Amino acid sequence: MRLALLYVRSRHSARAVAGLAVLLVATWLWRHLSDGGAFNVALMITTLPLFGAAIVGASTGSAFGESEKTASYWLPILRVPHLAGLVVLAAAGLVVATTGWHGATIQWLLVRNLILFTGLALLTARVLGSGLAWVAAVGYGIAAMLTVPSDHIPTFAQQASQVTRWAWSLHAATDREAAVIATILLLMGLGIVGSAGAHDRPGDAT
Amino acid sequence: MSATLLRIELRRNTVVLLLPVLAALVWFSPTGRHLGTLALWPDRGIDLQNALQGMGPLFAGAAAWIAGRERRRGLEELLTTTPRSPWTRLLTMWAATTAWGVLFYVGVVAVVFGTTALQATWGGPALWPPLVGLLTMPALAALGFALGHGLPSRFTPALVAVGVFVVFSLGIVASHGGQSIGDLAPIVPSIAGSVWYASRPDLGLVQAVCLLGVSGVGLGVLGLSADGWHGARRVARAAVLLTALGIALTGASVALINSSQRDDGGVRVPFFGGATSAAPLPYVPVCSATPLPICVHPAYRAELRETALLLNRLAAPVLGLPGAPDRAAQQPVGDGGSGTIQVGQLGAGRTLTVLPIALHDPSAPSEPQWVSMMAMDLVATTPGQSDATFKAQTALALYLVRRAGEPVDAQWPFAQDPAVQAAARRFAVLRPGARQHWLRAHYWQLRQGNVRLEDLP
Repeated sequence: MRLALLYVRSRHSARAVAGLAVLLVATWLWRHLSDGGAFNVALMITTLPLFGAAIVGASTGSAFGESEKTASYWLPILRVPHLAGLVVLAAAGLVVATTGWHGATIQWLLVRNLILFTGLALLTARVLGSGLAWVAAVGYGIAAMLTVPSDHIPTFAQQASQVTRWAWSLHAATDREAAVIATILLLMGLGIVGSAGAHDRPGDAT
Repeated sequence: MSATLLRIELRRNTVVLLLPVLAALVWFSPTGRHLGTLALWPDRGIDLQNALQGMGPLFAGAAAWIAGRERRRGLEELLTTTPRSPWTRLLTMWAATTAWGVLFYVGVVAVVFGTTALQATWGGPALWPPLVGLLTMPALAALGFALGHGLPSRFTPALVAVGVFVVFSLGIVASHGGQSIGDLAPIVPSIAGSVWYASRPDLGLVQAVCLLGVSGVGLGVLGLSADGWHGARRVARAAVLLTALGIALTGASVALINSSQRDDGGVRVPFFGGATSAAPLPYVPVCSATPLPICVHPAYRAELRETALLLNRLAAPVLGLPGAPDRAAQQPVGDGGSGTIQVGQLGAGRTLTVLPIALHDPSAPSEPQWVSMMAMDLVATTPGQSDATFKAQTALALYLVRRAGEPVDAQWPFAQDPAVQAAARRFAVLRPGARQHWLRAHYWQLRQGNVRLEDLP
């Protein structure tokens, strides 16, 4: 238990949890300020999960660098629960903040996109390091948003039926392909970063 | 600022690593997608500002990451022993980051304007959009640096990137919703996307003032946070001055935009003076040498042939009849007298019709809708006085559309009515002589809305 706590501290988890608390408040505020229009919903289900995924991605950094790999303890058993726990916390925040709004659809869209973006962020952390883990997820989220018109379509459901195939983050809540791809990306990210850690240069993980 | 230091910063800059991602975002943005469509200089200028929506957030995030480097690596105290002030070092890093951003953006401008120069048939490049875009890069870098240096954590860059994207998007939403404060977002077009009216420079000027203000605030705050050096007081004075100047410029831009109004010539800021109404641009229309001459604005010359062929195919049965149109001319929206045609893209893609008015009109029709509107215009001067007369006009229009081999719009009122469809089919199977005879006798009355569905042969 002590080891787990020390591990969590070394990953700046207090900051990450504070960030996720901000995410919860931002989601709650957005819900109350949003007009529920298609563009607004698309923006919400893109930016809020991106925010959560960026926090999880940045949490992959290790303050000890390569020296941590010499530890006798098998690190994946610490890394995977830590990252999965943050994903669960972020998802719970998104769900709680949107309870009773747009039914369960918006909640599932937020959680699915969190899973999708987190998967991308974890994979990027393995390539570019924890500090730049957000690049692919943010880039992809924005690229998907750029494929939708800003104000021509009244409802998100209509908009979701017209988006480009690769813009999975904007697919309808019932779209199985988007859910499968999100799950695969998260599992790959957890598997790869869980086993090998983020690719940080000394100092980048602060 | 040392040239050697700048060279090192340029070589080691993280933005270089992100250039392919930035290029991909520009490609996926409307900027990239529009390169293959009808080339209108105002639209392509607007696309240059749209490009910022994709690349801007990542660039700001990268700047935040670069700014946190010294603190992240625990080098700050060591670097206070160097003769240069921390602010100078940070400004060098900012200059290198900005240089890469500006260089990349200049490349985007060169590609877009170069392609447009080869495609466009009228007009010239609008300079405000690329200028606003160029000023956005230092402003985003300054913002990213201020936040990245003030909050040096690996969480900061991501939040800066997402935050900038949200601010840009909310700016667009506010601008579309008529809230002028949204116009300050650099991705809101600084010119009117019209080939008909001269664009005012007002919004471009205000956006430029705002961006200079944001740059000033960002760099000033950076100077205030770069403490721990022996000349800190002198640096702090300059930083305070720069911050105050930045705040003043940003405040001025907010005040200016709050007093603005919008019309066909774009945004008008009373403080800058200028004409109160949009000034029409002079042009000589280009016309087709077809039985029904079609005249369009020279900027749409590339689509004249296809449009003329389609309209002539559609109008062939009624051409030469008493009361039939003998000319069609493209007019700007708002001048919707009879004879107004709306020329769109009728290319092989056959997807969404982009009207010259589309930038002002969020409900741009699809090609089948456009064709049905044209067909209705050919058979109705005024819409029918009753359902029966309107159905008669619709049946004739449906006949024209089918005869021309065009797809029928699924949303066309009354076109799905079995009685209307049957009447259109009956009319189509008449002998040509009988059909022409009936049209010659009744076309004028039909256009006036005096012929009922039962009166059709």
